Amino acid sequence: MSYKPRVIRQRGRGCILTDLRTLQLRFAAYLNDRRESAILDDIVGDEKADAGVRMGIYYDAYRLRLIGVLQTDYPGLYLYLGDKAFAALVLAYLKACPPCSRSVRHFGVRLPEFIRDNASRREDAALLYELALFEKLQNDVFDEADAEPISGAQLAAVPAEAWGGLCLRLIPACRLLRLQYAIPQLWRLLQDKDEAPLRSQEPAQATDWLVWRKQLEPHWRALAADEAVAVRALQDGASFAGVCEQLAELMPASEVPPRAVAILRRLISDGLIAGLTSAGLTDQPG
Amino acid sequence: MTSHSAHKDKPFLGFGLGLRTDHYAAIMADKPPVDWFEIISENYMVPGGKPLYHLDRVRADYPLVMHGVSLSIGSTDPLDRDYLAALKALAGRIEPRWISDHLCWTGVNGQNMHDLLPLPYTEEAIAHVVARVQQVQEFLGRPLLLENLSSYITYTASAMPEWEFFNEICRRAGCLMLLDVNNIYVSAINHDFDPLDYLDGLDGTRVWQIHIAGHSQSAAGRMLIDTHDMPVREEVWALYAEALRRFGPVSTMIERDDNIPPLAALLDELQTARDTAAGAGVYFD
Repeated sequence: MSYKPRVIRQRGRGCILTDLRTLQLRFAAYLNDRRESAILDDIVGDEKADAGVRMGIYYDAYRLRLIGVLQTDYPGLYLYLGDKAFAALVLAYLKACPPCSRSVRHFGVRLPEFIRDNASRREDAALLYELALFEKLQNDVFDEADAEPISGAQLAAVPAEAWGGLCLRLIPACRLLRLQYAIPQLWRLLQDKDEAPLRSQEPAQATDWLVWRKQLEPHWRALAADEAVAVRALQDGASFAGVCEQLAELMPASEVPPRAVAILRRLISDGLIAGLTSAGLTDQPG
Repeated sequence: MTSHSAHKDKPFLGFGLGLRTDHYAAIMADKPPVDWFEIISENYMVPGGKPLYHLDRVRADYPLVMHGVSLSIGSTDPLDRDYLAALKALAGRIEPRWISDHLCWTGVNGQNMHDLLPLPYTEEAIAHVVARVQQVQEFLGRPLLLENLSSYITYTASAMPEWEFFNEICRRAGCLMLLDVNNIYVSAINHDFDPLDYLDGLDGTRVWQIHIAGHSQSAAGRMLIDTHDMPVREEVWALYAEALRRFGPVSTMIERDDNIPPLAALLDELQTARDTAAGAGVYFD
């Protein structure tokens, strides 16, 4: 930023004072890097504590607070790494991605990508990334927008002739992700403080998972390959007919309609569909 | 709107608690004898889910006030219009009795430190904050309450005591005070002033709300750290009584931000607040 410090001569005091903007920039610079110590000249030291000790309280609090925030947002990652490695990760992340959102809840949103891009020296870097992403998506759905899910009865009321143009809207609080590792199982083990199996995680066949909010709490389940195709199609705005077209690439045409209906019924019973529309129907939110 | 005269009609809400997620279930199940709750505004500036679900239910049974941590009224960055719009929308949803934030800055140059950082007590800072408070009040259509901080530094630039700085901003901007008694105590120890001088110096007509909380000793042992994670200490209860003797009945709240105990423990502390008020000779209708 091209900002020139300005000095103010305060009437009657005869001393040169740093203006407010410069003071704040110096303060922030110190919190980011203790070697940026210009702010110490603006702080009164006394016999109780010198300027460095006093500013050190803010320096330490900044880090401890944000480490604590990410411990809450990424509890599995914290348990997996332990205090020391987790703190080191957060401090590296803080340096690369300083918080810039009004809500501290958003501070950690880029942590999975940071791990993916920077943890390559660790053997378990790919697992760490997936674990962080899984927890990040839980956080995303936790307070995503509300939408009342529709019931099976509403689906049953759709007349046969309307199914072709039927469009289904997923609730906002759902996310799809693909995992190479058995992350949800690992996450449970971590919550149970089960140490033994943690070091034997091996990548397996990639599996699609759905993370969503149901009755205020995050839920997740693995998806069959054709379910994942259907959910992805719905996310992209496909109609029921469009979903069927995509499923037809995976199975014989005769199997598509019953399978599509079964997938849809399961999504509805999981509370994942928020509305139905069709050319012949008015919008039917849940 | 350049000034407000609302402080002349100071409302008294009674004795409240900070609304914390750990207590949602107990509050819903037991409807505890709490006169009102204070929410952290930012925790509910979200699209949906559990926070807003519980907020609406608590609001159905209790008066609420909103307390923010990210207004950054003292920052030299521009005011965050998106933040203010979200704040106003939340206020429209829950109709709080009032909205407060802190007399501080929380970040600069686009970075948010998520800490309540002190301002220098200067004429420049007063003018800067007053202009911004007036903009915020204009936008929200209501007076703002500002809270005093705990602090660990004194700027060489400061030209007046904190209470004069606080008074002057509130007087010129027409805003009100949320007085954190614990913060006065912590700052008094850290800066070697008499906390009674602080109380004596304040314009008590503007003190609409009081926070009471706990604090910790620093590792070095010579400074106090505002942690808000401990029971209220005797010295703070004594200072609270002194504040009430000067200011009369003020809506009072126990503010616990970390190391959250069971609700029953906070209800006990709230009873101590009531008893302290009665002991101070302040009678509440």
